[in-house]
Amino acid sequence: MNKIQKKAFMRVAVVVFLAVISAVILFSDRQPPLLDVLGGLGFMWLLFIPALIDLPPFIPFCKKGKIIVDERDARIVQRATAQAFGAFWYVFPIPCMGLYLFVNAYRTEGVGMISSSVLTLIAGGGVILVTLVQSVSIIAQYRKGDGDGDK
Amino acid sequence: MNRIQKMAWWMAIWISAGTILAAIAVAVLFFVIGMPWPIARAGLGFLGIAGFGGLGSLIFKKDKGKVTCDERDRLINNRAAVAGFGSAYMVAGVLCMLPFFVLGPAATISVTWLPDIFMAAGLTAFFVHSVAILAQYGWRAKDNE
Repeated sequence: MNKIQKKAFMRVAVVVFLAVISAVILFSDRQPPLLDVLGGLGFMWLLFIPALIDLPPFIPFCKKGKIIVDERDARIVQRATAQAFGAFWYVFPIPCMGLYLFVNAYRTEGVGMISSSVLTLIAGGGVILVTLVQSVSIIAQYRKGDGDGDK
Repeated sequence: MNRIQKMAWWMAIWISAGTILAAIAVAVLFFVIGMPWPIARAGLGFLGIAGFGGLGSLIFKKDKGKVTCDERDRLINNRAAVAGFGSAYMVAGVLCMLPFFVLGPAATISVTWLPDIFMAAGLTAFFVHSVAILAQYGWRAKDNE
């Protein structure tokens, strides 16, 4: 398993871990208000940490001086990134236009209003979706390929 | 200049024209005439002009019987698409976070922000895609026929 695959697995693990934490909070006996739980999803911003520090402190990667990314790896990452952004563009209009239509349909007077926190949830959801799709796509492409991705 | 470059120029010009006209219209309606914002923002309708950019594929038709697209063209197009989508993703993220940080978490904003964010992100995607294609080929390079 190469560095790219390890990073992909790490990201999927972080997303799943945080999703489980959110689900546990949501269905716990305390039953906090829904908005507080959604605010708890702010933990998802932790996803940026592996991206920022590039993981070396946590996982022993390839030895220095070796070629760690070749043409095929670059193509896999590029294809996964394109698929992730593509998925984002399929999903992004749903909250944008859906909320617009929903809020306007049920408003009593004037212009429909939403909390600014809702927008942060849309942005956060976008980050999670892109990260997840990109990581899963990378893992799937290496699985489907001829080699196991080792360098 | 090949077909992809011509289409990229076409797209970039129409998006630029729409954006500039919309900015002028909104500025005139809001600052010069003094209309309230909900009415002045109607000037954003000029962004519709950007839609003419989509006619590029009909205007610049494929040459029949010729190989019009090779590996390099596909690579350039893929890279430009990722750049376009990436930029739009960033714009969408920034515009979603902006009200939260500027107005605060307790603030409420008009729901019309949402389609505006979607439109801004879409225009960014197409514009950056076009500019990235032109930049990769070289703005005026003649050897890409």
